[in-house]
Amino acid sequence: MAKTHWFKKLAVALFCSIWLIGAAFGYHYLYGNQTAEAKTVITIGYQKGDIFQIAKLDGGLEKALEKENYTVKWHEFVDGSALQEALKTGSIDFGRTGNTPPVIAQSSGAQIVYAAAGYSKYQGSAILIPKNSTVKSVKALKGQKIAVAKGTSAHYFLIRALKKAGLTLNDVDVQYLDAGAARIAFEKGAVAAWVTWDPYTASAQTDIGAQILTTAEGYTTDRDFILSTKSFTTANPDVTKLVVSQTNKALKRANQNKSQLIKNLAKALKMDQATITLMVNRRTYGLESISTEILKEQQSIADTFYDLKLIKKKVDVQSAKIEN
Amino acid sequence: MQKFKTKLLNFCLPALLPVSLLLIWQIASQFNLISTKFFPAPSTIIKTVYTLVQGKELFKNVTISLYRATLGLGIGASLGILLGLLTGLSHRANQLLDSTIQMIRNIPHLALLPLVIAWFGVGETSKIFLVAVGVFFPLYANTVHGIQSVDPELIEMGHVYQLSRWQLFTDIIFPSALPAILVGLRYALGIMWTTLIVAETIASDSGIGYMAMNAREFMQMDVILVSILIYALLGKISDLIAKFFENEANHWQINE
Amino acid sequence: MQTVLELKAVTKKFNGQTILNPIDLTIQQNDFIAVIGKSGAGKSTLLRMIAGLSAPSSGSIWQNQQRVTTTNAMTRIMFQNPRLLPWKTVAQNLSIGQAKITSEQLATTLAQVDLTANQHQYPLTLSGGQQQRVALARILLHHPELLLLDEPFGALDAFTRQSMQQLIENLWKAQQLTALLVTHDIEEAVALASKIVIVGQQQLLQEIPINLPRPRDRHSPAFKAIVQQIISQLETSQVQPAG
Repeated sequence: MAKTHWFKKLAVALFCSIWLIGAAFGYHYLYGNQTAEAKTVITIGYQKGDIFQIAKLDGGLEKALEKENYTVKWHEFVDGSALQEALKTGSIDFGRTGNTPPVIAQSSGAQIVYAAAGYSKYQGSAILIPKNSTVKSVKALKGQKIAVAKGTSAHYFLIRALKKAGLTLNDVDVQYLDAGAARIAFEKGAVAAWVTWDPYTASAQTDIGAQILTTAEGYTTDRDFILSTKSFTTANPDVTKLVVSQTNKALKRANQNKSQLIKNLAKALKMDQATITLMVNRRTYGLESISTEILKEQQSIADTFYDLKLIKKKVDVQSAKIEN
Repeated sequence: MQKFKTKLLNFCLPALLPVSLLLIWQIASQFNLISTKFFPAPSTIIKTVYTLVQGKELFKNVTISLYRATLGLGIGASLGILLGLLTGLSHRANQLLDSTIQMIRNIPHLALLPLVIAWFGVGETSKIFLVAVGVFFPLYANTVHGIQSVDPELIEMGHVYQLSRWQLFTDIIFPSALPAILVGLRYALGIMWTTLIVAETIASDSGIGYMAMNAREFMQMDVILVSILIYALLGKISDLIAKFFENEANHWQINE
Repeated sequence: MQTVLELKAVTKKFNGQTILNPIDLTIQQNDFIAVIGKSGAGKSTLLRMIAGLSAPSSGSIWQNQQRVTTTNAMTRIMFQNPRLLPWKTVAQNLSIGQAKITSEQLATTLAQVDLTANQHQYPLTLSGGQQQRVALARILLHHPELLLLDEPFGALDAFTRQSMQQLIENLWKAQQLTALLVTHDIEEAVALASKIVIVGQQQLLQEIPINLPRPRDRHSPAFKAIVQQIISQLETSQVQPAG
């Protein structure tokens, strides 16, 4: 009896030590790479496979900021909705979203500013239908269930696409689901269509043979936006300029070596090369400054959402432009 | 021989159901009786574990989760036991603190998640805070209960034998309350894991919960199941450790 | 004969109810007083006041010319519940308290109560009688001047009760203790006491000295006579107050 008791004690002691050692490792992974110097930290929020992630993989942005004594911290978000919340509370300094989240953010009173606009990416944003679907046009989606993430560029894209087909949101059964839940619903056939963006589009295509009913081309420019807050950019105009220019440089490098980009992204996203290749090849990466045209489209997104009572306050996107 | 047979039976019988289920599952997958998309075969899962272990991702995420759980537990449990001791021992402290704490206790702590994220952002603080809050209440409540259930006759005996206030605490009050505290600890461990799971799926880019969430977006069912298995394993191990300490503390009780 | 304990006009009221009217009692060194009375008569209340665990409503209690206000190191009390700490061994239970107990003292006391073999056991593995012996040993280790016993053997079987009574008597004699025993077992009182005090109707009714030779023979006619006398005095309501 005493022998088994001794064995139990040893086992517990062993487990406890392993536990504590493991926790120590965890601590190391989270905080280990912080330098002793109290450098100012810039926090950047990104989504899967987006231009910030590409800049992250490229490394140039971090290096340039390090030279100016800044450390970069990265935070991944599941979609623009979650990201703009974090931007609002100041948890992140910069973020990349599609064209709709900044409008939503502004309407809730956040002091969001547009720091830069990305090139269009409408080839990778689509209304997806299952492999064996018999739907031939957007009009045919009348009365059907459509999955889309609320408050995202896909949401706006859907509204525009429906409008062109003479339909409104009320003519279809909209299911507001985030990318993960939407994918499951789509695969199970619970929805007739799924409006989404890359990498989810590419993944659905290569994994389960989803078809594109239509891309966002012609409905919206479907641009990326680099966002920040008024307080941050006013206090740190140089850092803002640096982040934008360095990201742009990284993106230009990515365009020139797409095969390397594909390898890096596939590894980072833990996705197969076929999907990443599809995603990367239908896109040209780059940043440009906010033009009047761009602001006009943002305003129309704001007005659309306000008219449909999807946002509560009227938004004037002009106030979100950075005074340079 | 009889004793060996009984021991063998005691070991095998509980394992019979899960093992048979696993076998049926594996066979069904191999003959495509069930969709391997939604129910990957056990063999696939084992392969996935191997790949993940290889990629060091598993180790990284598991240890990060362990760190968060441990820190949250440490903070929440110490505070819970300390405040529990305080309100259990001091009538004034009880009047001051107990009703407030009981009021907050009635809020399901997971409902605080959006609030916590708004306050503390998406970093480590919010996760550890939430775990600490979840762990605090069972330990507080059980500690108070343990202290208040001490046999008053034993305390009177302590007074007669002129025990100092410190001796009264260490010799009589605390050992009497200890079994209750440890029960609270065991309960708190379960809450620690469930809180962490939720916190890691909402606002995280590391940890087991994140691993599962991440996999969900790409229908990597095998990774999701592995994450669940890991949580189950961690939960079981922590429960066993807690049970061990409980038994150690209760060794003076009659065990027939 | 030195007076160890003196009660002067001690009363006890609780919630407006009078439990004890003024009681005067004197206890000399090496007395063995047994307090008898019907249940609820206030015997235990009296004991607790003497022990300093509760205060008289009026009057005073003096121990060695010092007023008793709270528990003190010279008085020890043994209850029906042995009140042992279940998470400590017998030896550890005996060692509690401020005083330092040497291992010789421990060994001697364990031998006195015949528990040497059980010193490393936990209380819950001991019988009722053994547990009471541990409680007794704990008391003896502190060499109390006054030993108070509140129906200590009520929960034990008749056989164990008798051996415990014998043990108490032996120790009382050997260590020249002064003892006050509250009991409703009249035989026990007559077997042990040098004086029996009857409490009833909220007062001290009678003091009966017992002069039987020791060791007391329970079957002797004198013994039985005294027992009978006390029983009838308890039953009748014509008991004269002590005066």
